[in-house]
Amino acid sequence: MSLDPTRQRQVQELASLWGAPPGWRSLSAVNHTVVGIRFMVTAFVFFLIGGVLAMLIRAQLAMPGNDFVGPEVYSQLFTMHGTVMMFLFAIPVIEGFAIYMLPKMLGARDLAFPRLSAFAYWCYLFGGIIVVGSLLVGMAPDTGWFMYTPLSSSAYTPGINADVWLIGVTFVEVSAVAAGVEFMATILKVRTAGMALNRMPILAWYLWVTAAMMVIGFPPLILGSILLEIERAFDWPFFDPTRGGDPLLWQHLFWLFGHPEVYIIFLPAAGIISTILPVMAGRPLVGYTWIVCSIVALGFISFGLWVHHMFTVGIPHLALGFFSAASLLVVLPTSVQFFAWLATLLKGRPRMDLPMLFVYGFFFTFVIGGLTGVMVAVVPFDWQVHDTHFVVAHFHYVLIGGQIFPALAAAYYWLPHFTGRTASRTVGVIVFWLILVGFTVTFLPMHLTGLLGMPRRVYTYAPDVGWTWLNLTSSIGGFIMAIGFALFILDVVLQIRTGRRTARNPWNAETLEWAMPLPPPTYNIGSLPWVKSRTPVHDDPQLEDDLQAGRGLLATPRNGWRETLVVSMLDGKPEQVLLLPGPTWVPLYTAIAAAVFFGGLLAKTYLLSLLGLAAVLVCALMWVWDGGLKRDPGPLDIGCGATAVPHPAAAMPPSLWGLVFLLAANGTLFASLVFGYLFLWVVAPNWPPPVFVPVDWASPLVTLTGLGLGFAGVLRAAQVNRQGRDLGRQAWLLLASLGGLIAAAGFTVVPAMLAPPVQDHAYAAVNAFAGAYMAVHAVLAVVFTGHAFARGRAGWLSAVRAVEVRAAVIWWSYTAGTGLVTLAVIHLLPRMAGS
Amino acid sequence: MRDAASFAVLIAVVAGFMVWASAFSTVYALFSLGCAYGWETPRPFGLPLWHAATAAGWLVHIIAHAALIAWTVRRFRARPATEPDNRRFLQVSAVAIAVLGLVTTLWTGAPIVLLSTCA
Amino acid sequence: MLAGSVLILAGIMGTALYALRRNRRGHGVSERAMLIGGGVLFPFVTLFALMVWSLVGERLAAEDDPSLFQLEARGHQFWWEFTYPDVGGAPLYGAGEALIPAGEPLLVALESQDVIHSFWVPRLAGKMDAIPGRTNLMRLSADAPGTYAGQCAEFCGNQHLNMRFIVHALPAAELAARLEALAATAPDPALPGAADFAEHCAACHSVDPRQRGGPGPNLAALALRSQLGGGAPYAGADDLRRWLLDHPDIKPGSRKPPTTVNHDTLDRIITYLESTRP
Repeated sequence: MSLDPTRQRQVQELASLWGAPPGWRSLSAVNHTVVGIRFMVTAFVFFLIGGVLAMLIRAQLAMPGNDFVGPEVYSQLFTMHGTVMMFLFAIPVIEGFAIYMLPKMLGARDLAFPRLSAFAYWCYLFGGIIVVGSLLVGMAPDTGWFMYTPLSSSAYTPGINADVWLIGVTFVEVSAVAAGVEFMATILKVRTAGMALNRMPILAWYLWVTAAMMVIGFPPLILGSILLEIERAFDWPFFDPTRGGDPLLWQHLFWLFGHPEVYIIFLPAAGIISTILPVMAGRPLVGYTWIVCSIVALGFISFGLWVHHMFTVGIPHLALGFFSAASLLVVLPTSVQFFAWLATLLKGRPRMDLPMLFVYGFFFTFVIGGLTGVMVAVVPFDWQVHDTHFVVAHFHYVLIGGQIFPALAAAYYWLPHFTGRTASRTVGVIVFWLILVGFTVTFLPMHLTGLLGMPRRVYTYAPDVGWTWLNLTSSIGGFIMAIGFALFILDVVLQIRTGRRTARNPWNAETLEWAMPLPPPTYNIGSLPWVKSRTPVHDDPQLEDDLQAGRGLLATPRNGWRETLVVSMLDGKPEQVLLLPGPTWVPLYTAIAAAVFFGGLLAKTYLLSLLGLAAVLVCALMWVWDGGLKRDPGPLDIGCGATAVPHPAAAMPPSLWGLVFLLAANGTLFASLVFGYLFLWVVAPNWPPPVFVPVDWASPLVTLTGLGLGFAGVLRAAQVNRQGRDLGRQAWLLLASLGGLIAAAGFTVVPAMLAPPVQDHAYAAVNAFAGAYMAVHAVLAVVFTGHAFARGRAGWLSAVRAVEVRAAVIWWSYTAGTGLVTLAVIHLLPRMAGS
Repeated sequence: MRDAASFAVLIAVVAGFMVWASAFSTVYALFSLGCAYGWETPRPFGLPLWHAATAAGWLVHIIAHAALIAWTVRRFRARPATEPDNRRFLQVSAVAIAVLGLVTTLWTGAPIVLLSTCA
Repeated sequence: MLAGSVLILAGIMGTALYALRRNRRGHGVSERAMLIGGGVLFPFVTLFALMVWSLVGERLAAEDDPSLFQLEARGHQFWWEFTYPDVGGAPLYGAGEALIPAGEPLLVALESQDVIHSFWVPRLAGKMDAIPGRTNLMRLSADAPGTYAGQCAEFCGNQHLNMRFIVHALPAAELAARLEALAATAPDPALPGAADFAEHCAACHSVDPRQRGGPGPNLAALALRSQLGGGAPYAGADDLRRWLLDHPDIKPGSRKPPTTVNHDTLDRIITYLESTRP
């Protein structure tokens, strides 16, 4: 394809505009292609580390009475294997994949918040280094990857091991929530023109539900980790049953996250199947709407299953019934997807290309995992196999079957996209059989090992119990699988070096990521298409040439801006032009500041943590100060005779949706806190507490006044801003800030004065925590309002450009709402309980 | 259409499961509270109070589901104003999810009928 | 369940593989029929049956029922304490091995001294957790007299492995007699080892079956047991000596401090503890 000289110049300009600086300065890159690849490569390195840990476990269990490692090392091995695989591989690899692939599939040039994804990457990397680094110094977490209290409490794990887990994993989770927020906003708003909801690639639906689940699912664990770390560091007894805490609270919070996590891992993998399988079958996916409904159903129902990890803790039979029923029902949406896939295969003419081989591998392994899943959902059966190797076999079938096989299918399917070269089929086939056979030999016998009574997490076993051959077989299988992965790495390296240059769209695929030169240029596509169907690339073989030649939207760069489209949510009409930031160090600095904060906690030097926190705030302010427009812009020409406003002048730019989704995550954390509060009150032993919060109407009234003043202030500020009254806006913002300060002071009274001594009883601790939580939010409300004030003073705001004011309104709505609930819980509940 | 209104349409599409989420939380909470505090009397319809309260919470949500199904069937007939294929997609999804929500509530609440003790 | 599972797996894989054949039927299959029939109706019916069956079936959690035989099992890092709340009007303390009635149900009250453990006798019933701060009641029954192996099933620390126990199911009459006998079993206080034991061991261990004692297991009827430290075989004085001298190697990470007494003292203590052997 040859471009005319004018267009050639434009394309060059686009390339340099979207490019990252060379050398070490490329660390400042925020472009989604670069960040996505970094994410995936890092995740794969952690996968290899987790794999080595697994090999060590299998080496230890190969023989009865083996003393290859002692119990202390073994505890670290299995804890770290689980932690690394779940938190440092399974979730981040999905994030990396989505960061790389989403904009390309949606026909966009980048994600909605490129700096946020760069920040997410650094958080992930630093958190991962903390977690894995502990292994090198022999102080790795050793209480199992679900960290049950009181075993993980300071009384039974006095060392730093558990702190490493709590702090490192929370750091990584910050990254996951950030990515979730990013994906939600991106899929809803940052698509190409014409991409109505029903024309989105099916993978976008999977990833949207996954992202929403990450945003809702991670906060309970983040809260649990914060509470446990506070208990360990400052002896606030949230989980100590002798002082009104309850170890079961940890289990609820953990599994409230932990079960959705399984589906967070599975859904993107199923999305990969739903993307690849129709291409290989040469026929569009059967039952698009059915599948969308199934995904939504899975997303919701997966939050009603968490107690099935707790069937043995002594929960009433009827409550077990609710969760057992939900655990069985969740099979239904999965089976709808399976039959949609089978129908697609039957109706099409499937080719057994390399990716398809792994799709079939997925069928075989995941169905077995699903069926044993149905078995363990049956309560009496679960009582028998719970915490045995049967369950170990079951969840490896679900996780490896449900994620690794689809991921390998994806790797072989999209490698031409990353490298511009095709894979060698021979090596790939060997990789497939090695991994499938190795996997089956490892985990199929393990079901039997469990049924014969071998519990999980024992570092050895006696020769006379009959588990010897089964364990040896599993160990041999594990090493076969490891060879398979080694060969996979070799294959990928070979392909990058020597693979044949591929034609574009080698699979005759349907979706927009193939409508670009391979490997993709920095700007993804020369111009954005106006799509008319779900399979644009399939419909129009000329599409790539047209787009590269500039026959599309946003073809010509202007003002040195990185531009992509923002569309209306439902029907994909172009609305705004999103002006994206270029390379910047701010995300890295923010992550380093956060690392200082977390590192200070780990080293118990809290002054350092405070400094880190202050640095995070400064970085965040630098972050949000960047960008914006000083003058009211007119509509911009986007090509094809259409116009759109630049996003700073839009009513609802993606950043505000990002804030809304961030607050959804925060709201889940708050809801989990309220749940924890009530749970302790109703269920925990040693209640009621010796003293309640005293009757006091002064402080709640002051707090209420502050909340009211702040909320009304920002609402009024937004209102007068719409009328173009700059001075009035500034005055109201100032008043709202004052309200925030008052509210913050009012809430600080709770932990500082009202709550009984926090180390005496969980009641006092949870009240103090709730007060502190709200005080932080009131302070942040002041920051938001003050930021809007400062932006206004500097001339970034007008009746049209009002993003910062709206952000303050959104933050204040959240703070006022949760503040009211908190006040009611703290002050009314003890009165209702009649104390 | 304004963004907030579009988002409201999306919420309406998944409302069936939001009602289920509420049903599941309500039923679990009522059951736990009732059993923790030993709500035995009065005994409406001959059931211990905790059982009656749990069942009532369940029934209220079943009614809400039925109302939601009726509402989605009507609401999505002509709106939202988008292209016909997309509206059809939203309509089918909304009604299907409303029905699925009801099925899920019935299913996960079934133990209320099948079992009758706090233990 | 296994047969059904194999059938489902074969059906799905069979269909997927059949789709690969060149000359085949199936292109005209109705999408809707497949999705509704296979995707919805089939699992709906199967799962519903499974749910009803599992809910009205077995149950483990029990309500208090004073008419049943009572046993308290208390998890410690890393051993099980067994208490019979009423033998001749007072509690009887033991560890590592429990006596239960055969042929009739009993109630096990599960508690924990420290972290979460889980009580599991695979051949008798499912497992239930022992959680600090609460008491879980579990209904258990052994159909036939015999000896049943049990183990902790929730990871509770580095020696989770060696937290095994033994359950002896006995006919009711024999059980009563054995418990009466246990209540009167204690090492001979006239032996010289009694003073050594009092000096070196009694801070943690009681030798009075009616006294709970310190943080270690009650040793009154130690010589009647067949396991030491939740796993090591115990048939006589030699095993006991090996355990006392080598337990940091046999059970690394256990809470039991290393033995520091000299050889003669150890001999006297062993003779003392072994004096209950019939």
